[in-house]
Amino acid sequence: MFGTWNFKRAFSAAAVSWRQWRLVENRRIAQQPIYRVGDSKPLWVPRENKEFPDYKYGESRVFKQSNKGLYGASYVQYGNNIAESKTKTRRRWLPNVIRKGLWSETLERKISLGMTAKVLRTISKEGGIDNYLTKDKSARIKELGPTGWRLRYRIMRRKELEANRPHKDAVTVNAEDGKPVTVYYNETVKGSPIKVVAGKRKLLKYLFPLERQQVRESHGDLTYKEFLDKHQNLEIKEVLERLDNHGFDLKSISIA
Amino acid sequence: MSTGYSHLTKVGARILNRLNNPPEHLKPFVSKYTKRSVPEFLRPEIDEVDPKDAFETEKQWKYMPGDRVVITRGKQRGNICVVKQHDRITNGFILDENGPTKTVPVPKQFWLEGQKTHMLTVPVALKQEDVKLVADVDDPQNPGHTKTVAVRDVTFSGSYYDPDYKKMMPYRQVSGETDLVIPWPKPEQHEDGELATDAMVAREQTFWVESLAKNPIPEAAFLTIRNPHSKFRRGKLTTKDISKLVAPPMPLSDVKKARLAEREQLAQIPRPTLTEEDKNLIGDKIYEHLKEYVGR
Repeated sequence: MFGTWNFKRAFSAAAVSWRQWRLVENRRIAQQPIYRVGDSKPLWVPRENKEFPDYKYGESRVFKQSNKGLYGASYVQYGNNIAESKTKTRRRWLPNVIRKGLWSETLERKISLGMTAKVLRTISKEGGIDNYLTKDKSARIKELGPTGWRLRYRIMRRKELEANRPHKDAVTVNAEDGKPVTVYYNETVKGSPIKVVAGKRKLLKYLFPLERQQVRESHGDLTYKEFLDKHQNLEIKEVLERLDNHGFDLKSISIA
Repeated sequence: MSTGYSHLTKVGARILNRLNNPPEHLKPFVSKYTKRSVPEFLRPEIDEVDPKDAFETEKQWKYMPGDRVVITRGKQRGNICVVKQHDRITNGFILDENGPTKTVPVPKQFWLEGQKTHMLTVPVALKQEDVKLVADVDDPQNPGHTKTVAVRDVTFSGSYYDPDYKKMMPYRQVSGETDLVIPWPKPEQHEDGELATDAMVAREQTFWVESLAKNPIPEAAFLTIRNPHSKFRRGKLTTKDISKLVAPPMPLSDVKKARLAEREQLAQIPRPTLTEEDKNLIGDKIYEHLKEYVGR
């Protein structure tokens, strides 16, 4: 009469996800307005720049301690103890939170914070906290939480800076006295090629007193900040030419 | 109710606030004790009204000072009196000497000029529902004569400029008889104050627009009519402001960068387009097929 039933068991031996995505995905996050140069200013502008990118899922409003550590989207859960007499007693289950210091290879320091034992297990499977934090899967981003997101930014930023280190292709050669020096720039000033062994910051430091002297001669004054605003974006060639015009000995910052 | 130090301290502020704004169910209780603490010569006979319920417009008051009213309740029931003034605290009407009064002891510092005894007879305010307007209307039985009637209620409609009140006033009609208009009483004439401007002077036009293109206000006077420091003049956003308002982006991982590069590369691959030749080829193929199977 019923034919063959495609019977599915009502219970399952498969592990149920302990991660409460509902509590992560359903947070209501204020939408950030789009700011454009020339629009009218908002009523309040913060004093300092924002340090970290905005976390898409914001902060948790429930079980707020999870905002401070790596809780892997596990939250407090509520239920009852049921006695033999069926008396129900309210109780709650907290995630297994441990405090742990883990070495970050990228940041070269220990990251100490609270995390659940499950997250620690995941970290060891991933092969370190850096790998755990920098994985791109959307589930990982959801379970990071605000603190994990900030740590992720720190690590990604450090990695990016290291990949694009200034003068990373600079060559180190031996000077005439046999000491190793790094050649930062190969430039031509007034027809003669020179190998500059000082960075831009140092060159600007040399240029500043000379420029200031020039301004002072016309009864003005120049602070280093004003100087930087004017000269920071100059090409290296132009900085060298200015130094040369002031009578600076370019040989002191270059090798033959 | 206030203590002398409420501007310095919050101590007891909650209690005081409770006394000033009692909850609804405690209001009668609190008002009873407030009333008891006021001396009798200052105490109104009828209840004070909430400031937000106080009458303001003529439509709310219905009867203005100068109107004749008949008392419909109390010992003076049936007396015809003239409204002397509005009592704004109680939404009541203070009537002339035919109205209700009370004799109360008054401390000496409040004595009026010429007062010789502590006991003073003061008028008592009456509620709006305890008086009815008295008006002279045409008597249909005796043409050319008027009769004095008490009006059960009045309604309002339309408006006109009343030169006595020097403002727009609604027409006051007998309720249910819209063509029976009862005029407003003439208000008491006030003498103009020392600083008053003559009406003729005020109406005289002294400024004439000369040009639509040129601003009549001199440039130097703008500071006196516009506030340059107004919080509504917020200035424009600069790149510096935006860097404070907008969070830095999360750097992309190598995997993500590779994925984006791949996507871009795929987008670069030219898509094949159907040429006329291809279309003809497909058409021929279909034709062959149809000829073979359908034509049979």
